[in-house]
Amino acid sequence: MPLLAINDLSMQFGGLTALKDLSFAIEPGEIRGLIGPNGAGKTTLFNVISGVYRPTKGSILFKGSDVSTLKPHQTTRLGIVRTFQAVTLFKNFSVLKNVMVGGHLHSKYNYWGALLNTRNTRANEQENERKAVEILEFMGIDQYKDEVAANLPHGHQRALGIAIAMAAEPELLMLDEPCTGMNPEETSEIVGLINKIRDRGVTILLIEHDMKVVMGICDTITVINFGTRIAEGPPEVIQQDEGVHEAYLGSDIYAA
Amino acid sequence: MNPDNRTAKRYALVALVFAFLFPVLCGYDKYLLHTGITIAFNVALATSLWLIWTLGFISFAHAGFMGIGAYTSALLFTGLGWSLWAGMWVGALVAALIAFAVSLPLMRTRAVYFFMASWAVGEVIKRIFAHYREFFGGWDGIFNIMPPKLSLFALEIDFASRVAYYYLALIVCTLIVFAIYRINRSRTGMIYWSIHESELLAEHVGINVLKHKVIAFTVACSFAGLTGALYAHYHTYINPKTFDIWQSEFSLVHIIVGGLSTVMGPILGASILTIVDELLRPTGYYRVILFGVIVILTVLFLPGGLETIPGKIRRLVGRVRNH
Repeated sequence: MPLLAINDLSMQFGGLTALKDLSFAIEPGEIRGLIGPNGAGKTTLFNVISGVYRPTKGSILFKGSDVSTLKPHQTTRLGIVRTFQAVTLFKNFSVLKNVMVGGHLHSKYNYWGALLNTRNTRANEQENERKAVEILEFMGIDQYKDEVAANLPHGHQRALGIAIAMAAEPELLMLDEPCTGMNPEETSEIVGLINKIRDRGVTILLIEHDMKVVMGICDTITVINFGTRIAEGPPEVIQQDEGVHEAYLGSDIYAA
Repeated sequence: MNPDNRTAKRYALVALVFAFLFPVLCGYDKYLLHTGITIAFNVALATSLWLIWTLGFISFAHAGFMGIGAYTSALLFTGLGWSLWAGMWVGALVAALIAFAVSLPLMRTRAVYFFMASWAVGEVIKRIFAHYREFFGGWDGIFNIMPPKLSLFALEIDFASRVAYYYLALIVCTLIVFAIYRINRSRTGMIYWSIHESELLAEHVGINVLKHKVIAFTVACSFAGLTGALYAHYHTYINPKTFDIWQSEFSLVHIIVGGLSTVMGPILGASILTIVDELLRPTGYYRVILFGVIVILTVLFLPGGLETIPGKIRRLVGRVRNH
């Protein structure tokens, strides 16, 4: 059974069709690339899967059950976690606290315990902090633990964004252009991290404009244009695909 | 625990001891005790308003919910003869229930829209009190809301005494502030501030944003209702104007001048500005203008509010020492 199966998905905003009868499936454990020209509907698809929008038509099956009507906090609970194209952090929090909020879901908590500050509550907080530090070490940014998130360099802010998502313990991690605005060095760091995350058993759906990255790490690539799938296959096949080249308007897809 | 927090705790303890000794220190002066009671009410209101702010919202309906608590308790007294001891809890409960119902649509709005919508809610609450003359007494309000008595073993305490009422107000205010302090320091507080920082991200790490907004608003408004009940039985007279936009606006000024980032902000702001307000009383209507000047000066010269002063002094002392 695929981890995520998208069937005949359509998303309409008034007269504008952002997604049209889109179907594809992701197997557990793979790194799936999602590419397409600007405005093809990639981020819209992320928004529909994560629950920001409710699709006009079609279904999204996650481990066999339909998640198309769920809200973001509910899809996250099930194990679908995403990052954002624009750096999105709790900017005035410390780096550690950012990740601790991410881990909130998997750390026991209730209002009364919090109010009374019981021993159990304190133990849970410590456990959550320990886990957060572990994730920061895994992401290689634990040296910034006590720094305010807004003060980090851009590359590390992006890494922190992924760390927050990791703290929510995803089964499917959706990364929206994680390498945007990065220099080659930072990019190769992120690529290494994505591979490491996959090795932990997390399935990855990746939107990325840097074709070297996409071709380098994805097992399969899905290409969409005008909200529909126009090609799918391993990187070698996609590179040769006529339709894909046409979609990018004849421009060299490596130019991006 | 960081040193900042330890010093803050020490200050709070000193302030609390001072507050408990205050009636003796002021020689049971009636006017000063009245000022003390007003401070307690204003601190409770400002702190509960600040609780809503920790999620990123400024509510202009706060005085309205104070009014709901006050009218509930007052009507229970004049209608059924229930004392404040029952009225304050029922008042808080009714305020909470109405806040819960109102917050479901209200909390779906954001930023300036929330601001305006909450303004409307506050105004509607006031107008309802004024409009239903039979039940709420109209613009004339409700009279003869007597303070309660308490029999403790052989001791009979009559809260018509100002000293007794001062201690009652102080205890309730302290409990409200302590509850909010605890909420803010806990995971709940972390969730509230994370919603403040980025609602989008909070939602996407599995936080049910609407649920927490509704709970926070309901809790804060029930504290306002509790304060309102105490207010009614202290002044023995209430009318719709007591709970209009101005009261909310004063609380807002208190937290802006006091500081928005810790619970010390509303406490400092409400205490000091209530005293300033009393000192300005002889200036009559200029009071409000002077208040405006204070807000503008704070925003210009002390953007973090009064709560940042200790840290500024410490840094200054540190710099002098290092030379």
